[in-house]
Amino acid sequence: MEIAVLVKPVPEAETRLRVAASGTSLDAEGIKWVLAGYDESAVEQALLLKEAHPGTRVRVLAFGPAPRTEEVLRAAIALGCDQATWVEHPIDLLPDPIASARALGVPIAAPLPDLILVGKHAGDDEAGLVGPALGEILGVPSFSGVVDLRWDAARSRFTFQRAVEGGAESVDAPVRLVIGLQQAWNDPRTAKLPNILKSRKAPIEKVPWATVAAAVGDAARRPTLTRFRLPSPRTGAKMIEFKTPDEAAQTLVRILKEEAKVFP
Amino acid sequence: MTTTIVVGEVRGGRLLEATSEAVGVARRLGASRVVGVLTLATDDAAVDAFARTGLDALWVVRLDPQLAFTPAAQARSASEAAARESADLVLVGGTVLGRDIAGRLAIRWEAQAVTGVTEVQRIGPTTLGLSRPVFGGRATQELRVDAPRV
Repeated sequence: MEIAVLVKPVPEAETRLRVAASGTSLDAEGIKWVLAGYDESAVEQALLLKEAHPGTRVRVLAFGPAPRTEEVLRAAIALGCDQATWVEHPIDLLPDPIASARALGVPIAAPLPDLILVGKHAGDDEAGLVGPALGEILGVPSFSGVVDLRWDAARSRFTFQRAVEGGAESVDAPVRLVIGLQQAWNDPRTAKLPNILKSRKAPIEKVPWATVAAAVGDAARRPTLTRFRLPSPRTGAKMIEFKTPDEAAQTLVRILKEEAKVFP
Repeated sequence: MTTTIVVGEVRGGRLLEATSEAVGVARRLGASRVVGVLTLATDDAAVDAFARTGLDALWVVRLDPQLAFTPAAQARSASEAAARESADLVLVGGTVLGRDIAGRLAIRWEAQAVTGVTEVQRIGPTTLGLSRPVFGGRATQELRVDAPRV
């Protein structure tokens, strides 16, 4: 079985977000980029299928700027992916999930894998559009919200549950489809040090921007980002100084009664 | 004249609340014609419920039960309706299926697509301004989309 996994570099979860000088995007200066949590789960799902079904190969693909994209591809190789493909992303191309699907659709189409896995959504834009858009581009079925994905080798079919609002659907589907996993329901492995070291020298197939530019199309195909903003700083917080929990509780009750007038 | 398509979603024979909300958004944005699309196998009660949300027209696409629930079939129906009605906007609910339809429809209809939208307003004859939370709600992205869009 041939499996492709799509990944994307996102800022580490604890990153303090800042607005870029343009006012329309995140300031990327000093950010540590990592493999998104949902993407880790997708890689784990692919590796579990690989271990259960010998002969399976896992290819990881990403569309993004240097050097962060290469770093997350190497992280995926260190976890156990067999092959990595990096689709070059011009630094001035504004991010758009449909553009990403169009770009990734070029290298992934030849040869078309049996299964394409994506995470629920990227941890930054949270759009969740790449999987379904890619399904349409490739002319194959796509399903999001998938849990409990299994491969029935005897029938050459995938079975899975689809978590939808108000319930779940059981689906049985043939090979060549796009699956969007619902959440990090598996427990992604951590890479071993020797594999991390080996991944640094692993070859990465590079797809030049010129190869995918026509498929991505011009800016008229994409929304225009007009502003990126952070919440206003919170005001009105009052810190309670205390030496014992009892003292803290008494102070809190007094403030709630006398100042906030929450109760008499 | 501006025509907006609203893609209806049914679960367990009932029309989802997200669909009724989408009809309300279409009206608030000043659509002169709001057309519903419902792709399903048998749920007649849901057809009546959708028709009662204040639509100007409703397309009902009947498919085999094995096909009707698939995002591909739902997107095909929405795309067909959008083309025939010369729509400039398709609205879907913020559901799992809604995102599936939006992604496929963006490709099929050659449209811009944005999900997770919490605020929308018309800022020009053919332009909408949108806001959506990103980074788990730690920031907000504001965008401008031109027709056609999902």
